[in-house]
Amino acid sequence: MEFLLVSLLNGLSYSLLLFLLSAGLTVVFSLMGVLNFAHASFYMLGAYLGFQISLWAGFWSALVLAPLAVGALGMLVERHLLRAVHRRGQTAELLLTFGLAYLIAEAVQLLWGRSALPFHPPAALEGPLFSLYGSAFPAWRAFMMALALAMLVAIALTLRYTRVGLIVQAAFTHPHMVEALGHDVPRIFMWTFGAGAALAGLAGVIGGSAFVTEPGMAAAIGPIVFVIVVIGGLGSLPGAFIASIAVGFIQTFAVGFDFAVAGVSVAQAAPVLPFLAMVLVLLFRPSGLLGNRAD
Amino acid sequence: MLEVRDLHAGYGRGEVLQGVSLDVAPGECVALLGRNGVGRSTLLKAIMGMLPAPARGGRVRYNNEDLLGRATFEIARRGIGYVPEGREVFPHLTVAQNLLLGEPSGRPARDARGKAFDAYALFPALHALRDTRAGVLSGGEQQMLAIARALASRPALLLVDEPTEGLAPAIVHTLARVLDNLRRDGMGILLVEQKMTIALDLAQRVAVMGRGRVVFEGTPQELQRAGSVRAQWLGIQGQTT
Repeated sequence: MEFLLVSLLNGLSYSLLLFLLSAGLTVVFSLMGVLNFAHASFYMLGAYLGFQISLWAGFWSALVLAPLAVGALGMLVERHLLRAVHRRGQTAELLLTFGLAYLIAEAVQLLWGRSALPFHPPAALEGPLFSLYGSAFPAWRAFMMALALAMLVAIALTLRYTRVGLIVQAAFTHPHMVEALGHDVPRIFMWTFGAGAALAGLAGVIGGSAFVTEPGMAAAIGPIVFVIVVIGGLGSLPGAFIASIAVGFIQTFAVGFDFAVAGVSVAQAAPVLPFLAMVLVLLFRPSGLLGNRAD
Repeated sequence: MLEVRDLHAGYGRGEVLQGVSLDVAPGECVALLGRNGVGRSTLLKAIMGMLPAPARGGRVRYNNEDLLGRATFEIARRGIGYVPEGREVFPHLTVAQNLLLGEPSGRPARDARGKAFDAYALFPALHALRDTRAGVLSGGEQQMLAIARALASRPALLLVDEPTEGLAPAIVHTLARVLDNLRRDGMGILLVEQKMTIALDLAQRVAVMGRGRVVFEGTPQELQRAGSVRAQWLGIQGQTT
């Protein structure tokens, strides 16, 4: 029972982190048609910048400044790189973000080396929030959940109730018409891309300090985020939310089970399960759970 | 106010517009006629800067300012409203939200006399629908919304593409009266219209397009007399009323 409850909370906090990452990816895709291969690299950059800033100015400054820095970088990437290749179509944009992912990975190793960094949550939050029959739930995990939830509520409210949110919603389906009404759609694209990058950076500070900050972290989480976006349906925020919860729970719970199927333990198979789920979704529901894009 | 000269433009390889020249003055409605595919909608898009490829030549001037090469939103902000073919209302937003997005500044635009635009005074039918999602409106209601949305920024020139397509006669009549009143108030209107009777009724001048250029320009009365133009470029024999 206590194992179940703590696993549930662990799964939920991990799921929310995954959603923080996939939200930016899926919104940028539905708005701009750009599948950003460098999205997980923004996550990694958030962790590294977070570590560096926490050395200089403490963890809480890092939690605010690192995502802002990553967001600013995202805006520069959109303004000066993506926009330049936009006329050449999606393949050019895809290749550009692909190259950017490599560039960021190499830069991170040049600056911070190849080994994992000692990036930890602040001491105040390292202890357990509560213990149930010996199973502890860390306070940091609870903070992580609260922060992710707050961000998600903020995104939802912004999209639904602000003028900018309405413009973005309208631009999902009719970007040219929105611009013909006099809205600076290129600038909205830049801000949206920046916001997506900043969310990934925030997830990086949280994830990097909770799990590990090392050069392989982008490559480790990138495919999972893509799986989530595909399972949820490209461009669907609610779909990405459901898929994040599902994948987060699959991964958290599978490693905790110790029974075996046909000689392979569930814990061993855990890393493969999300990809298996993606294959099944693509076979039986190619547009994803809640996707509605025909192309 | 609008001055198009020898405009060459298209979607990429093919050149749809092959030297179009055209003027629209304040308080004037110019109807663009021609068979399907001669480039009337393309001309409106080219004026709005919405074609994917840059124009290959020519000039588009609005109030003595060059528009070619400017971004679509900059062109719109200079005071040009656009009502596209197929209406393109934002289906997931409500009528009120659609109208809100017609005001790029975020504040109700005012005309020269300081009067704010009131969409519901123009189209009372929209008032009861203000909290309804635009995607579920009828074609006529969507067209009213598309026109009202374009007017929300108080443009001086309105580009309207096929406003009556697929609509019932009563709605067509309402829309025609609204457009005519706007013109009487001094707005310039460039109208693409398939229904000849409507076009000839609303327009002070007509321009017939064929093979990517304007092949005839004159008053509706002159077009009525130019039988060969109507036969060759519009496929109409005899008189229309």
